[in-house]
Formats: sequence, structure tokens, C-alpha cells
Amino acid sequence: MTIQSQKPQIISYRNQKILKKFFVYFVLIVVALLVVIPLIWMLSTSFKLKSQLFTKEIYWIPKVVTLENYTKILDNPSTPIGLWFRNSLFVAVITTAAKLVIDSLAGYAYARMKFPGRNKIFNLLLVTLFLPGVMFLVPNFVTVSKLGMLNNFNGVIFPALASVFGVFFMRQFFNSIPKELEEAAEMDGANRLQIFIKIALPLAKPALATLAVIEFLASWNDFLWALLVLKDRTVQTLQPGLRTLQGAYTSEYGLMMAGAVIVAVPVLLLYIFLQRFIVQSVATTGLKG
Amino acid sequence: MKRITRFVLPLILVLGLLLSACGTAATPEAPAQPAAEQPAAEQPADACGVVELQYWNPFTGPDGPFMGEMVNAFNAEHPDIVVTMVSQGEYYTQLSTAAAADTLPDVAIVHADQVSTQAFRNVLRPIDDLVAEMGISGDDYPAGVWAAGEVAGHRYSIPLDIHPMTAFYNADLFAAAGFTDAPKTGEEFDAVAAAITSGDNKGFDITGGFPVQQIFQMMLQQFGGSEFNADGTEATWNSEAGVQALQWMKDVQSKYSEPNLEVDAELNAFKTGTVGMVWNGIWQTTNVTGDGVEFDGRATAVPQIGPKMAVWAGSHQFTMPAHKTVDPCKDQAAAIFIKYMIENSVTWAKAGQIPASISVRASSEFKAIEPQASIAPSVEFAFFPPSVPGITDAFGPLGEAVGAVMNGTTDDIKAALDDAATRANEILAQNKATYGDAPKAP
Amino acid sequence: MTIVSLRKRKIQITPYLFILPHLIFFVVFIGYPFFSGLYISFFQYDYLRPEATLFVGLQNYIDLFKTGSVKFIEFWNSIKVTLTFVIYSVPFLVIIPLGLAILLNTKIAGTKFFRAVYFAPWVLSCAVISLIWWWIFQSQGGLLNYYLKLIGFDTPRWLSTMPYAMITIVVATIWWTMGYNMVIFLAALQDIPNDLYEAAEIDGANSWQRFVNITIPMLQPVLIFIIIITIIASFNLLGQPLMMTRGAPAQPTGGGATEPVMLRIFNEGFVRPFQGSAAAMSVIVAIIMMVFSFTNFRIFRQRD
Repeated sequence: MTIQSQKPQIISYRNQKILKKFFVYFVLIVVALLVVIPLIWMLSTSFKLKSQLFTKEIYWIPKVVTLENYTKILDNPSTPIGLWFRNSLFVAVITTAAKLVIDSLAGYAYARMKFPGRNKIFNLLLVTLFLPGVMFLVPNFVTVSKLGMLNNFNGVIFPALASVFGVFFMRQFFNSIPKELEEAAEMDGANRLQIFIKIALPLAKPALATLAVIEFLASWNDFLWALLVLKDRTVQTLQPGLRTLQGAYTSEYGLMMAGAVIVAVPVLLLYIFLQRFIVQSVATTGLKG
Repeated sequence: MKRITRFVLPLILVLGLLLSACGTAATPEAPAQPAAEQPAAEQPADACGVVELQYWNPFTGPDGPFMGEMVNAFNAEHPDIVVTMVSQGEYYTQLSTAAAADTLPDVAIVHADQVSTQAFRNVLRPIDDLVAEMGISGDDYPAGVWAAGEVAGHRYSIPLDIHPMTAFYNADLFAAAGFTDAPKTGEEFDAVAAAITSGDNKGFDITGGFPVQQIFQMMLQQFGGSEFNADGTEATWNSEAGVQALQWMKDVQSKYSEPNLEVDAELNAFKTGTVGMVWNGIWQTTNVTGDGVEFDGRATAVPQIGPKMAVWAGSHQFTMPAHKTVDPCKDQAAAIFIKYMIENSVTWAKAGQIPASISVRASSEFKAIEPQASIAPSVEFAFFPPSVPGITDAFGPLGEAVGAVMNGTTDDIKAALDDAATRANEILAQNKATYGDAPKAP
Repeated sequence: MTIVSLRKRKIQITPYLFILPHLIFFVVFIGYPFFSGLYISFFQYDYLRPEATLFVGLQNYIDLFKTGSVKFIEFWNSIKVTLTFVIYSVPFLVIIPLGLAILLNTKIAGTKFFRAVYFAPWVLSCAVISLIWWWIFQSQGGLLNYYLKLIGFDTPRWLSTMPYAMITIVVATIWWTMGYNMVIFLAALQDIPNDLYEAAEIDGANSWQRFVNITIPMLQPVLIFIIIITIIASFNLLGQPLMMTRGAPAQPTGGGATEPVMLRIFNEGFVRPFQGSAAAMSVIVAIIMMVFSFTNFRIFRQRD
């Protein structure tokens, strides 16, 4: 009796498991499609002829594949998307590099050094983490304008260096690693800068890489501030540039999607190569925050 | 973690290489200022040497290349002047930013309804003397478009073009419904729109976004009203004419149009070939006629619906932005440049614009350009808002009211217009308080 | 002696040298503007017309609280729009990522692949995702309405009527940012020790009971973190409506039904010449945001 009744139960349990698995995959695949479809649509539209955009039937694969949209925006001198691309890259790389230096120095000091006022200053920094960015929009614009940094990359790079997140992040990291190595080096007569550069920084490589990814993406994707400060088309970056593109052409969605592809592909490639690492970086920020 | 360094380090190297190429881009092109500081007023023109001019305009779209062609032609004919043209998006915030940084160009295109605002914000300077020197006068322009360039008794701009509201129609759908000509009156408009509207086809598409406010302004004028009183201190669109105008638009929408369309949706729908007529700016000509569509798309003047003919229009005008130091050589060169551009604005007509200058419009060269030439007579009926600073802000509530009615957010036309007028009056008062009576003396 | 004292002094200076580079930027671009923003808000101020600067006291604030005035209507409408967006978007941005994280936390093949796919849109910029969705939601020629029509559904005017215009913005935002929250949830889920679940299973708890009694409590700190940062991010809404709906549809009483407060401030201070009034708006928004975050923090903390 017992044996007989057990057997079908096992099967149904197994069935249930398979069913559950099927359900999980079903949901996962549907969501994955929803994520990917808009990207494919962007790509597909970007290769379509102007006259093929508003057809009565929708074609996922363009009837005629054309590069017209790409050549048209790349050739238009008032939407120099190649130049904007370099500007974005320049701003993002400089901002990221400068932040790594500045924030690791400061983070190290707040974590490892004792000095009068340390806690007070650091707490002050922390409080501003909770202040909304909108407060700084108008006054910083006025400041940047008075410093002559409008239409100038300094106008977007310098304000970005003020942010507290990186300092906080690096301090948390330095707090989490053991002190012994540094103490040994200090006994050997190394000064603080030597200790920082030769001992602490090499240990901090993973944290620095994480910070680099986050700051690079933040800078690359910055929209509002770049829109305000970098107006001249020679210094414009890609994100506000896309808006210029939107304003320049009516109902030429092929052109606009081509622009979007040019902006999206570099970060998507970066993401595909560094995918695991980027995801992990983001996960750590969540737990640390 | 080793994998990370293997990926990140080469990446940084690559970026570093790219960077070296970007180095020069970090400093925005410094405007060349050769010996510009010395007063050179009395010096003859050839003492200036080669003068470089920066010329800005908002032509980032398909019209840009036409303007570029004109600039190239000018440069070829004038070896001692080098004009660099720059087309910018986000145009007016861009001008403000450049004004704050004192990097304004030497010549700039400004829309008629923005001249006053930009003058009061110290972006532009008066050019009475230069205009007199150029020998350009208001006689060569329709009164309204010329008046738009005068602010507090001074001249700030010279009109280049007038770009009117234009009727676009699908000649294939017209033919199928038994019509050959575009409607010129309200009755004709109704007849053809009704004939085309059936099934998936619509006679006339109208949106709830741009340019619906402009269409309203046009109908308001056609029914005998006006947006503001003469000195621009009070909104007057909530008149009987205003209610009639908006009621007509709403009726037309419910009879012949897809409801509640968003900005540009009427153009998109028109391009699918299922819409008989749309009204939009003349700058859409290349987009919805000729190669832009797979049917016979045509452009013509808008019909007269109300008792009085009136056509909404914008106008691009040449201005000279303010600088801390004025360079007479550049002023001279700019005057030559502007005069040339006006006289040769027939090339500009090919971009889908109507030259503002009456003599240019009278030329046989212009008369050969279609459909611009046949739309051109309608600019005689163009109207422009009073030349007071911040007037475009006061249009904000009107746009909201018209949009709300057309998108069905409200049914009460009179109340919506009244409410908008009250708010606009408040804005006008605010503007008056902020801007004062005249721009700061240059 | 001298050596020691020298060293001591040196040690005292070094830390300041370490923090100085950051502190300079901090003071100029966060410390100073905090006060100068307040200062500007008491003036009628246009950076292009310094000659017209005028001290107006609390007038900029009073205008924002004067019932029926244009500034009152437009400002509080935009606050309402932003709050509506926060209320619509935040629950989805918590529940969907949490659900996906739980699915991905099961022991099946391919979870890393799905995780990577779901996260991908987050690396794109606001401008890119806005353009893509703006095109998809077009009523004429748009992808969505094409298929809705094909299967016989209504085809709403997504970008120009309510509530659809708000829905488009919420959908685009969910698509864009859900991966970020999901990844953080997933990391937190993976940190929950497995033996807790095993013990509960032995005690006969079903999966729902396990979720409520183990997962939720263990996730609580992360949950609070996610909710707070999502609220702050949602408050900063600007790019999506700027590029997709341009604030449409218009409302007869004034203001756009999808014009968020950031866009209002942008228009007031950078399209119109009222930087003083824009600064006053910023101060009020900042206060509202801080009250919001703080109460959230309190509510969740009290549950402990």
C-alpha cells in the first residue's frame, strides 16, 4: 500500500517541478523578448528608407537595406555626431580618471588617517548625499557662467568632481581591508603618500575598477547638465546631440534611430565585453550603500 | 579579478589613444581676432585685410545645406571676407549661453517673434545705422514682417524669409474623390474633406500639438480677431472670433480627422497615404511632397475659411549679436554679407521658404520655383505678434488651451480661452515688470 | 626632538593634502551653491541682465503659493505630475525587479544570460531610450499600435492623451532601469544563507511562507535602499517627457499633464529668464524630496 501510493506522488512531484521550471523559463523568455524587441526595432528602423517608414504593413527586415540614414547624419555639418562622440568620450574619460585620483586620495584619508575635524568634515559630505541635485542646477549654472566655463568641457568635468559618492565608496573599501601591510610599511619608514601609492592602491584595484565603470557610465549618459552647459555644437556631447537630431528632422525616424544606434552601440559593446564585471559592480554599490 | 585587468587595461589604452586625438577639441575654437581691438572706424575697407565672420542659424535640418550653398557662393565672390556658418539646435538657449560667455557670432538668424526678447536680454544690438548704410528699407517688405524687427524705436533685424502655414494635399486621394484643385474657401474645403473621409481614409488630419496653436491664431485672424491688443499688454483671443475659430477647428476634427493626434502624427499619417489634407509649416514641403512620399503629394496656400484672409507665418531675420568690443571691420563685412544674402535669397527659396523681400519675390527666377511661387501671394496676408519681449511666453497658455480643447481634455471652448487669456495677461505683466520699457543702452 | 616635532607637523598636514583636491571641488560646486541657491531665490535675477538684478525678498516664494496665479498653477501641476510618476513607477520598479530576481535565484541553467539581458538597457542613456520608445509609441506608424490594431484592440493616442502619456513614460522607465534594481536584489538574495530555507522546509513551510518569513525580512535593508534611491531617481524625471511627450497633453487650467517639476524649473530658469524664481522652486522641491526620503526611512525603520 504505502509503496504503491508513494510512487505516483513522486511522479507528480517531479511533474510539478518540470511544470514550475517550464513556467519560470516561459516568464524569463517573455521578459527577455520585451527587453530585446525595442533594440531590434531601433536597429531595423535605422536601415530603412525614408519612404518605407510608414507602410501599411510593418517589415522587421527592411525591404531595401540602406545606409542612407547613417551617411546623412554623419555628413550633416550641423549634427557632427562623430565629433560629439569624441567629445563624450573625452569628457567621460577625463572625468573618470580625475575622480579615481581625487576620490581615492580623499577616501583613503577619511578611512586611514586621524586628523582634527575628520569626522565633522566627512559627516558634512555624507549629509549632502541626501540633497537632491535640482538644488544645485541654477546656482551652479551661474557659477560656471561666472568662471567662464560655459561651452567648455571644464564646465561639465569640474562640477562632476565635487560628488561625494566616490569618496564615500573608496572610504568604505579602505575600511574593509586589513591595516597590517600599511603599518609594516610605515615601520620601514615609508611616508603616507608612498604607502598609499605602493600598498593601498594596488589592493584597491577592484574597487577602483568598479568606481571607474560607474563614473564612466554616469558621465557618458549625462543629459541635463551637458544640455545646459555645452551648447555650442563643437563642444556638444552625444546625449544632448540626440535631442538636436530630434529637433532637426520631422518624422524621419530612420535618421533618429541611426543616431540612437551610434550612441548606443559603444556602451552596448562595452557592456557585452565587461558584462559580468559591470553587473557585479552595480551589485556591490547596492550592498555598500 | 585578473580577467578585469585584462579587459580594463587594454581598454584604457585604447581610450588613451583616442584621447590624444581629442586634445584640441577641449578648447572651443577661439574666434580669430586679428588686430580687432583698435578702432578702425575711419580706415578704408581694405585696411581690414581678410575679415572672418561667424554666422549662426537654427537650420539644423534639411534646409541647412541650402543656406550653406549660399554662404559658399558669398565666400567665393568675396575673397576678403570669410564667413563660417554654424547651425545650432536648442537655438535660443544656445544664444543665451554664448551671450553669457561673450562668444556670440557676428551675424545670427533670429525668428521674428524672438527679436524683441533677445534684444531685451542683451543678446542683440540695434543696427539702425548699418541698415541705412545698406540701403535696405521697409518699403521692400510687407509691413508686419518689417515691424517685427523694430524694438523700442530701434531696428534690430532685417527679414530674410517668411514661412507661412501651408496646405498639403494628397492629389491621388483628391482625384479618386473627383477633385482636381485644392480648396480655396470653407465650402470647398468641406466638400473635399467630406468626400475623402471614409473607412480608413481621413479628409483632414489635425493634432493637439504643434502647429495647432498657430492654426488657431490663423483662424482667429480669419474670423476677424487678434491674439493681443496693439501694444501687446493684453491677450484678446477669447473674443467671439476666438470661440468661432476654435469651434470650427473642433468641428473639422470631429468630422474629418483622427481624434487626439500627437505632434507630427498628422504628417506621419499623411505619409502613409490615407489622409487628404494637412496644414503645417511650408518647411515640411520636402518631407511630405515629391520624393518624401509614394503618392502625388502637393503643397499650396491655405484656404480662406473666415470672412477675412489671414495666414499664420514665421520669419527668419538677420541680426547682429552684441559684443563687449565692437569691431568696425566686422560690422562692415557683416553688412555686406547680410545685403548679399537678402538679394540672393532666391536660392533660399529652394529650401522651401518664401523670400521676405518684395523685389526678390517679383523676380522671374523666384517665379519659376514651385510650389513656393504659388504659395507666395499668401504671405501678403501674414500677421506677426506685437514686438514686445517675452511674447512667446504669453503664447504658452494659448497653446495649452487650444491643445486641451483639441485633445478633448475640455469641451468648454469659451472658458478655456478665457482662462488662458487671464494667465497670459499675468505673464505679460510679469514680463513688463522684469524687462522694463527698453533694452539696456548698448 | 626636532625631528619628532617635524614629523608630527608633517603628519598633520598630509591628511589635509589628501582630502584637499576633492574638498576644493566640493566647496565650489556643492557647498557654495547650497547657499548661493538660497540667496538667488530672494532676487529677481537673470544672468544675462545683471543690471536688472533686484532684491524681492520672499516674493518668489509667495508667487508660488498664491492660489490661481500662473506660477502657482504651473508649479504645483508639475509637482503633481512628478508625484504621480513616482507613485506609478516606484511600485513597479520594486516589484518587477524583485520578481525577476527571485526567478533568477532558482537553480536553473541560463540565469546568467537572462540577468545580462535584463540589465542591458540600463547602460543606455536617457536620450537613447526616450527616442526608441517615442518611435514605438507613435500613434501613426508606431510599432505598438500596429500590432494592437492587428489583433483587434483599441489603438490609443499614447503620447497625447491621458492616462496613456503617463503610461508611456512609466513603461519606458521600467524598461530602462528595472535591471539595476534587479541586480541589487539578486545579490542580496544570494547572500541569504541557504540553511535558513532548508530549516524552514523541514518545518513544513510552503514557498509563500518561506518568502514572507525569510526572504522579505532578510531583504529589508536592501529593500529600503532600493525604494529610497528609486524615489529619488523618479523625482528627477526629466529626459523622458522632454523627448517623448513634450509635456503633452495640455490641460485647460494650465501646465502639461506630463510636465514634471524638473522640466518646469528648466523652463523657468533657462528658457524664460527667471533664475530667481527657478531657484525658489528648486528649494521647495528639495524640501519635499527630503521630507519624502526621510519619512520613508522612518516608516521602514519603525517596522524593525
